[in-house]
Amino acid sequence: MHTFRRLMKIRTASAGLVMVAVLAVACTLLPPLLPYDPLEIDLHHRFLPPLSGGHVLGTDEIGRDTLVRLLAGARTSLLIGLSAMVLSTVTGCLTGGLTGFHGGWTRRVLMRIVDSVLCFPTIFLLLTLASFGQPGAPTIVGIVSLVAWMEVSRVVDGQVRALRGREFVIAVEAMGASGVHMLLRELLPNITGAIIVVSTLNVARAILMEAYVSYLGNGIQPPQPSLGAMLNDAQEYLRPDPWLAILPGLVIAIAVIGLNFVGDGLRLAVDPRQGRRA
Amino acid sequence: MADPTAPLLDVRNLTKIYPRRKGLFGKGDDFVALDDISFTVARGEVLGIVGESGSGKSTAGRIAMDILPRTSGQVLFDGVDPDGMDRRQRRAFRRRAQMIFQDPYASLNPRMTVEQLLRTPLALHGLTAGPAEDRRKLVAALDLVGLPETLLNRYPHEFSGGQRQRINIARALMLDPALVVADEAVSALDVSVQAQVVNLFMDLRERLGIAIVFIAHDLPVVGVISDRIAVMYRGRIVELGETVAMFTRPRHPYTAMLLNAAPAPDSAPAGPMAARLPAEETDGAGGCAFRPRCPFAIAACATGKPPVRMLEGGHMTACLRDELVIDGPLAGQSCR
Amino acid sequence: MSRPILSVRKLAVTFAQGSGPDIPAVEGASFDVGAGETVAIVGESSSGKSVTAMALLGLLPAGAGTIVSGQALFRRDEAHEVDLLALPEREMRALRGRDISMVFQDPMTSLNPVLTIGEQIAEVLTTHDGLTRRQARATAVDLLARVGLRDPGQIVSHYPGQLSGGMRQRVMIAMALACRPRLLIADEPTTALDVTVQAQILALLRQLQAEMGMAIIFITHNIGVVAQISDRVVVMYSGQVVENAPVRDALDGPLMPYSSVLFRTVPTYDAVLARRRRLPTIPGHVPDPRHRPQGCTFHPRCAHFRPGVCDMFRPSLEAAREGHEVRCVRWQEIARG
Repeated sequence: MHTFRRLMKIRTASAGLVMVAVLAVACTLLPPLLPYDPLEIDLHHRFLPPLSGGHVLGTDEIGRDTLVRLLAGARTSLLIGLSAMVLSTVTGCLTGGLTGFHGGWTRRVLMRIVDSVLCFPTIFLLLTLASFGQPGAPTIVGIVSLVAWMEVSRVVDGQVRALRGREFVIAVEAMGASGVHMLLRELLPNITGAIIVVSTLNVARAILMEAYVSYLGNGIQPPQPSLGAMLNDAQEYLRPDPWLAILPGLVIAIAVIGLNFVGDGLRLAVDPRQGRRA
Repeated sequence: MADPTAPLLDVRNLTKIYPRRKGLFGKGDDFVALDDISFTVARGEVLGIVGESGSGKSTAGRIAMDILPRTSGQVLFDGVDPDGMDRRQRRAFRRRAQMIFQDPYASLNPRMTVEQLLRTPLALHGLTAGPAEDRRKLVAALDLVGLPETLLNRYPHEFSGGQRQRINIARALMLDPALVVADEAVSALDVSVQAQVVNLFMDLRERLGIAIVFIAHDLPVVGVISDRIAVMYRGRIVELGETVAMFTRPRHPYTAMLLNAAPAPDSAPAGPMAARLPAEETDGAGGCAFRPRCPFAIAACATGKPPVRMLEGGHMTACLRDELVIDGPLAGQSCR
Repeated sequence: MSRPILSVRKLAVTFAQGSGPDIPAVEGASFDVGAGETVAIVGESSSGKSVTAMALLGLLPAGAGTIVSGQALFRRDEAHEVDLLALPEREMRALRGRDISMVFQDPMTSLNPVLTIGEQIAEVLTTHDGLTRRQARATAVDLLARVGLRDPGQIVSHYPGQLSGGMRQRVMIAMALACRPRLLIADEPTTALDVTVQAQILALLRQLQAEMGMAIIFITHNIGVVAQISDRVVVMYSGQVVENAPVRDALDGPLMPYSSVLFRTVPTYDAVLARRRRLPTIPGHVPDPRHRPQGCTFHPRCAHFRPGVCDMFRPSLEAAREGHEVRCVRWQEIARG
């Protein structure tokens, strides 16, 4: 609770939290209230500019309501972001926890793999992987997590290693605690802060990744709405109808900036000492 | 259980070597942290281990607790080596031997309340007996260390160093141990708090019959609490004996130097045993490690590791010079 | 004693926090340090002993919330007296290291790890004494020899990480004495060291003091060290000076109940001989500086506490006899027994 209060004192963090919250609430509650379906084509009303013909944000090249499609796309993005985060956090905690705890050659091998993979430009890795898989949300979640767990793993590994030699851990070890107990009860609770921070930033990253992949056509397949695909579609009409590109871009920006603000804020809120240094 | 007159803890010929490699393919340059040390602790006895930093005293404690692997040697707890214990024996060992650490700030998990901290040992050993009974045990342990039960819901950061060390001790007591290894347990505390915790250890020994291995660098403190003292220098036990005998007539010049350097307020400052510079890299090459600092060193001291000699009253020394008589701070007072 | 070299009057330091009550770290501390004298300031945590030293050196974090008041007259030579607490930062900087220098508990953190020992000593000398680089290096070797380091010519080109704790503390002392200060402030300089190394450092300080005639303020919690090094003892408790006396008077016949029981809590060789006897202790613990008790701050822990007296008003520091001050309303009754 202290952490939350400190978080709200950081202006950018609270702004980020509001941005993400508004977006999340809007894309869950708003769509049923609107009289359009994201897939409904209306060739009589193509390229409507915002605030015209009953469409708040206008329509696209085949007359679909932009607002509904944006919300649906944002929902997909957030869901993908969250699932990728959950998957990568769980994997990262397990691997990082184990390597940090046991050290030795498992750690050396695993961390070398992580390091070398993290050296690649992620986007190329992502696209290569995406071109092999069946396009769709689960694939994106899979490949985003495939990259993201390493970040988590490295953080958890480092933190666990730092705490492993601390006296409070050795104290319960001397009392007969098993490795599982030490890891789950003593170590992980002490690094939840760091994990939350990486995970939040990973949600933002996953959203961005989804947008990339969908933009390049390997992600969410049409006609399902996706922010990245919408950007791609809008390319052809950039001159006459710029809002078709601006609006999805804006939504991506809101989500990613908001989450990054929260993540950075958490970094400070979780460890007040670091805040002073920054 | 083994023979009740046999020692509770019997450490034999313990050696710990940290291999050190210079560079990628460099030759081994091993660091000998413990060099063939042996000592025993009887039931209900307090054994002090003193020495300066790097003497190996903490290493000895941790190996005795089997939380640090050894290179060679034996540790017998109730006649059984933790190394060869089966699951059930090992569980019992972890219950009956407890450890208290130097830093009361680092040795308590900051995310747990006092209640959670004290419940942990019970949970680990499956000794929980219903909430009411557990709570009674918790309160009893807190009471033993002089803390009120109203503190149960607090977190470690809300306490002073002395209170935290009491919580550490209470946690160790939850399992009703036969042996407590206290590694510099009072060194980080304020003077007046240190006295309180030293008294607490004396209480534990008298009221609960707990044997204590009291590791510290402060000789007067160790002297107050210990029945016998082992003095360590560079990984070896150079002298081991009854406290008063050692303070009256130290048999090893290093003990004498420590006694002289440890400023108890009633000690007379520096005599012939004035502390000398620790030798840098000049020692080690065979012979007694203390030789470069020793005012009594003779040629024979350089020719080989001095053997441990048994003297009267179970006193042991690793000094060659039998005829040496050095007065300790209690010389001439022991009859009082 | 002739005119003191340092005269501290009513020194008070308060740390104001944004939220929560202010922390009065030091409340009206007054004491003198004579030329060539060693004064030990003794106290437990939150007694204010280290804050006092930092305030005298102008090293407390400036601005935000730190309020320092009082007076600390320092005689920099026969003719000039300056108030350390009122000195502008620029002049203070010129004074530090030259007229007053300091040695801290942890020599590792107070030495720059990426400069050699020689460079660091030379820096002090070139700043304050205006020596050339070459002269400074020669002087550095000289100084290192004086603090008892073997092979000073080698050590000047070592980095701090290559030296042991005791050697680093010797280097710190060499640096502190480089400009022959009139006052050396040593804050727990031997606490992190092994006992035999501590004994050597204390002997070294005594010897250098005899040679150079500087005064020393020695801050410590170790009563044994006090007995070995000091001429005079200032006992601090919860931000106040509670007793100030010559070392033998203080250790043999303390008048303030806190000092007397504090000195007795330290294990002595007599206590070693008295097998299994408990050490004297002080009940309770040091009060939180934000909520110090009314009246005498020690009264809740004092064996001589008298209701209606000790908890009503704060005693002032009074002279029990020449050179022996005590802060206790009942000291006369207690002394009579």
